[in-house]
This record gives sequence, C-alpha cells and structure tokens, in this order.
Amino acid sequence: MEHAQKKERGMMELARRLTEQLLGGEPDAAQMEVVLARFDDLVAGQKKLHEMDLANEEPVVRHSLETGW
Amino acid sequence: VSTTDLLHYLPIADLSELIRRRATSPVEVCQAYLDRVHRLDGTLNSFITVMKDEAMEAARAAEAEIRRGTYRGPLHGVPMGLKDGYAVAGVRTTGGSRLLERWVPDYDHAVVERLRAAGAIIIGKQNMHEFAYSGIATELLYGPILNPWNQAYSPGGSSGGSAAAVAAGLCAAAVGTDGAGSVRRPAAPCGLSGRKPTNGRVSRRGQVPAPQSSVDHPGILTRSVRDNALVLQAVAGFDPGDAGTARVPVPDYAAALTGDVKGLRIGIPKPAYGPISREVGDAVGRAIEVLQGLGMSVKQVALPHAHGAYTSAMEAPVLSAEGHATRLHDLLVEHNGTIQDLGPDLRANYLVGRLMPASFYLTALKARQVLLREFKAAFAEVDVIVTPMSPAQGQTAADDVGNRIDVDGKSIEYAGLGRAFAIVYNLTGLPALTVPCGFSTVGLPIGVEIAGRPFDEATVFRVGDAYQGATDWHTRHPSL
Repeated sequence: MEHAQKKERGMMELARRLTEQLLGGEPDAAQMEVVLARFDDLVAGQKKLHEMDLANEEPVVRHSLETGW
Repeated sequence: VSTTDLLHYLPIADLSELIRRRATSPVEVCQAYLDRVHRLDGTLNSFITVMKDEAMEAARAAEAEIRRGTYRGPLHGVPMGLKDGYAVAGVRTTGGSRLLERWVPDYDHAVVERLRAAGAIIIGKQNMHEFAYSGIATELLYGPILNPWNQAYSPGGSSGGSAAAVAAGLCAAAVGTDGAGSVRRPAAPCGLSGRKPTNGRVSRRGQVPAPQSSVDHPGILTRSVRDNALVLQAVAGFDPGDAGTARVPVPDYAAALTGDVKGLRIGIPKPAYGPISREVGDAVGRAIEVLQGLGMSVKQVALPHAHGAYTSAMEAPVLSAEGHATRLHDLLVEHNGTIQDLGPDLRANYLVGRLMPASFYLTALKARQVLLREFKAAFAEVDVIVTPMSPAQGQTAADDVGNRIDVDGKSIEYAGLGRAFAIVYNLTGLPALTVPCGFSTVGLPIGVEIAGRPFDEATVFRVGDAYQGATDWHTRHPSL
C-alpha cells in the first residue's frame, strides 16, 4: 500500500474512533479529504515555524499585555 | 424626506443629542430602524433574529426615563445590533449554528449588560459564520449575507451580518467578535470603522461558544471612529467574570479625539504582512500621505516574522487547539450534539483539531513570543503601525466558497495569506482599527488598518479620527 493511502486510512480510523468515542456518530467520509488537506497545511506550517529559533522559548498561552510585554 | 428617513445614518453623537434634547424620541428612532430592517433585510439577510417587541419595549422605557430627567449618556435610546454569538437572556442565540437553533440562554453577555446599563436598545441578533470560526460569509447556515455596497459580493465574516447591517443603516452600531479579524475584515469592504481593542480590554463572559481565550476579542463596528469610541467607552473595563480581562484604567476615549496627530510616528512593516493588490496599495499609500499632511512622520519597522507565512502557521494550531478541539467540543458535549450537527466546514475543522498533536500548538505558542518581542521593539520606534486591512477587496460568492481571493491575478488562500493583515493582531493582542480610505474598481470600500501599543486604543482612535476629519470616505453610504 502506498504511503499516502496508509496515511489516509490511518487518519480515517483515528477520526472515526474519535467521533464514535467522544460524541457518537460517524464522520462523513467525503469530509476526510478536507481533513487531510487541512492537516497537511498544519504540517507545512510547522515546517515554516521551525525556521525560527524557538529552542529557548516558553510556550505561553496568555502573555500579559497588562504587566508589560 | 421625513425626519425618520434621515435618522438611520446619523452619527451616534448627533442622534443622541437629538434624543437628549427630546427633538426625537427613542421610540421614534427605534421604529425607524425596525422599519428599515423590515424593508431591506429580506435581501441583505444581515439579521438572524429581529427583536422587534423587546426593542420597542426597551425604547419606551428609555423614553420614559429621559422624560423623567434621567439621561444615561450617548448610547441612551440608540439602537444597536449584536452578532448572534452574544448571549441575550430570553432571546434565541444560535451562534450561527443549527446546533443552537432553538437555544434560549437565561443570561446576558457581559457586553450586553454594559450596553443595557448605558441605555442602548438591542434590536436584533445578526448573521454570522458558524460559531465565528471562519470568514467565509456565503456558506452561512442561516443563508448568505449580501454586501450593501455591491450585492454581487460578500461582506466577508465572520461578523458579516453586523457589518452589512451597520453599512445599510439598519442599526447605529454593532458589536461582533474578532478571533482572526472577524470584525475588521468585514468592516473594511462595508466602509466601516471596525475596532478590535487590546486583548483583555473588553469582557467575553457569555460568548458562544466560550472564547478561544488567547486570540478572541469583542469588537465594534460603526460608521465613524467617533461612534466607535463612544461604544468602546460603554463596554470596556475589568470584569471579575472573565479572568482574561485586565485591571487597566479605561481612559476617556472621546477626549482623545483632538484631531491633533502632529509629531506622531507611523511605522510601515518590513516586510509587508502579505501580498497587496495595486488598487489597495494605492489607496493605503494615499491615506498615509494624508496622515503625513497632518504632521505625522513615517518610517519602516523591521518585523521579520509578522509575514502571513509565519502568522498563519501560528494561528492555525492555536485556533485548532483552543477553538475547534476544546471550546467547540465542550459546546457539543454541553448541548448533547454530534459532529453531524455542525456545518461541513466546521465538522472538518473539529476533526483536524482533535487529531492535531499537542506539539503543534506548543510550537505556535513559542513562535508567538518571538512575534510579540518584535512588535515591542517596533513600538519603541513608532506610535502606530499602518497597513492595508486586506490584500485585495472584492470577494464574490464564488471566491468565498473556493476559499481563495484574487490579488492582481494571483490567487491566494483566504485562510492563509488572505487574513495576514488581521491575524497578526489577534496573535499579539494589540489594538487595531480599520477605517475606509477609498473604493475598489467593483465599488467596494477599501480599509486602512491602524494598530497601536497594548491598551493604547486612545492613540489609535486619535489617528483614525484625525484621518476622518481630513477625508470623507466614512460619510458615504451605499444606495439602497
């Protein structure tokens, strides 16, 4: 099986389990193409962010603009 | 032309002065706006729920109060609209979703509490993209919204109904939400002044779904900067019910509108946040020349990671993790929903959010820290940063459905570079304002964006107001 097909099948299964176990119901199979495309965009975005020097940065959810930035 | 025919485009300050002097009454004003909604909104589709009975009752109460000598201030008796993500006690609040089609909250959003305390009249709940998770305003579950300036075009979103309604004179002002430009982006092609205050300036308590904490802001859509300042004055300030609000004093915004911007410094980002069409670039360039003519200076500021290629890569995991995977999930659980209750766009985003590794989110948060430091350095050199609001104006229904916009013949992704000029200030939390600065070849207004330092909404207002004092773009209205 080609890598892309394996990936798609794996993602489909993950999405199906998440949907069933968390909320009930089945994901729409036609939607999975969109899901995969958006996931690929996220991966491409991560590659872009890795161009930045982030090794010593803290992941801060709410930076405080109130007390200085 | 009768008096009531003229009321709908009056600046709030003028309208409230007429009400205060009892030259007109809140009942007359409210009825005039409701009549206009009835006449025009069958086509524009900017409202999901018109609160006719509640609005008239509130207008009668305001009228009686003013007659007794109790005048609350410039919003007393002034009709306003709300994006349908704002909970209003006893009124259906859908969030633009079928999931909440019949949901009636028993509480008011904090902003609604403050607007009511200021005497404003809420006339209805306005159309929006499902739970505000997109700007693609034609795929709305409650039907497409038309841009009053050119009905072949969309106002954009996600506060598209609020933008269309204010531009069409269906309410004096509206309050929306801005998680990725959702107030400013529709404000621009509707010719409005659209304001996102600093993160923490305005409470989000009662927002549906619960706010995406780190990027979500209430925002205000008005026909002038002066109107915008009056509304922000009423709703700004610390709220113990929203841990994200800041204990920062709220200044007198109207007092900041002096018209004097001499000596203030404009920063132009280098590189630009994203591609810019020729007509947008020309209009914004002329706006900067007007500000220079008022005595402002211009210099380039280095913002190496503020380009959309980086900021869209930061924004997507933040929205996925905080919004789609968490807030939206909580809402589905709370209302016994399944993903089948969501529209197709959000259904896909929900699944992406649930599948995304946590490391993607953490990487984005780290990158935001770098971005914030770059802006801090830039604002040591300048007082405001001025850019276009959008790369190009004019999204047709087909553009929206395809999630792409055209920039001088080059197609760019709307959810990527198309939002670059907006999302940079959601990621940093900085205050930003769009004001109209011209028209595109298809007759849609073009917006110029002015951003400032944290909690310095006053300077941003001052610059926007001075620009409007020197130009007349904001006084033009669509033919309807």
